[in-house]
Amino acid sequence: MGKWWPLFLSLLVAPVASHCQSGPARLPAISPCGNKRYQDSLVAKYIEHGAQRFSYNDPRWTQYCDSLIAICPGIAVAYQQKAVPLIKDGKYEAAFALENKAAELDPKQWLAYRGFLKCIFTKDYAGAIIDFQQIARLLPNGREMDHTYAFFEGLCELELGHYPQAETCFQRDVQLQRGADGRGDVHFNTLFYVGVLNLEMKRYEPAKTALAQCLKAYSQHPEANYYLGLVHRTKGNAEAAKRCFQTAQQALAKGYALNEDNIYYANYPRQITAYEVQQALR
Amino acid sequence: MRHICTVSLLLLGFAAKGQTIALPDGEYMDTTSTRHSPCAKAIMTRYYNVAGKYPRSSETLRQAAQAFLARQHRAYQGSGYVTFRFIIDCQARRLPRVQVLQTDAAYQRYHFHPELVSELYGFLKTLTEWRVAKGASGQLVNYYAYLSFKITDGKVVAVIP
Repeated sequence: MGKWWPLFLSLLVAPVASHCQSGPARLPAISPCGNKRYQDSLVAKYIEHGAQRFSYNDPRWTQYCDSLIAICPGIAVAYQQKAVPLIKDGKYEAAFALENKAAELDPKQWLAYRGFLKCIFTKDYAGAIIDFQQIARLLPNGREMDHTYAFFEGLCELELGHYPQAETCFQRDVQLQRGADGRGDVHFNTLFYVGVLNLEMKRYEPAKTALAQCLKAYSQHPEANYYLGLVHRTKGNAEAAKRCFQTAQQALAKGYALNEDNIYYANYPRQITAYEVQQALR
Repeated sequence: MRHICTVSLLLLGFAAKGQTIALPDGEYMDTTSTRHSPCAKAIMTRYYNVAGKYPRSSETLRQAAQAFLARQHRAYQGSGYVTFRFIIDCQARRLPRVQVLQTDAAYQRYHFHPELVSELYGFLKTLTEWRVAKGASGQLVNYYAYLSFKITDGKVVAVIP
């Protein structure tokens, strides 16, 4: 039904349009697509009760998205949803053409998401920073995938080796999480990446402190244990390093992970596997 | 006889380097056929449904890929992504029908030097520790997987996923 809807609609609209053209006044046709309530009703019909009834690898997912785009080409979510299976299959050309369209149509909704995809999925750190800086100007306190924009910007700066910039971003991230009263919890992965940053900057005591804080919140964090092991090893404390590596090994074997929603699809920066821990234990 | 030997050697050289085959649905490395497999009846899923990412960190793979390229002593240019999509069968073997997708750094269609693509494919062939995957009820499954190489100025700067 979904794929016939645009054709059906165009057949209904065609005689009306031709009738209008023959009239003397030639009033411009008013499309309902600009109406928010109409848009919402289409999203409910074609996305929530359409595409999303199926797996995104089912051809009907794409057909519903295409139908919505054919009816009202200005609805951003149709493009973003159509891109979901593509990005997870590594089809970047097709995926980003759609993500770009979604971000162009509704930047407040989809610009940060595109930045997230660039940061985590395609490792386009410079491109992600541009997106996060742009969205931060529009929504200074916005979040994406449970994190502040400053978190992702810091992560990208860290991976680009821009350590002072990364530090500034992570400080802002912590500040935003602490909130106005300064009592909010800081996400364990913020603490993890602050630890990695300090390790990269050869500031071993702050690295140890941040990683220990991360482990206080999530003791089985494999990467935090592994990188704390690297700090100990760098400082010449082989026994402490070995204990950390063994803890990381056990955590991975039990299925513990960095705990981010998208780690099934793409590795987060500095994410490890059992292989890297085995190498460290040699 | 000498001509036959020459032609055979040339063909062998071609086969060793691999070739790209363009089809309406994309470009493929080596072959577009699938061989009869004991996994032919196994259900098909995606790598992310069965924890099927290659069991190495992205950084370990990046270092290995870059070292593999460095051994060829050739310099390349261009920035963007070379992605290979393929099937890992229920016995954890990568099937030879491999799709290749290439974009520039802005995700626009692009073609890197064929030698670079061929060498990256050569590196992919060295990865032999794909996981045996099981479905929800414990049956062995085939799965689609991919490996993307992010290239900056001809060098591998990241391996995805």
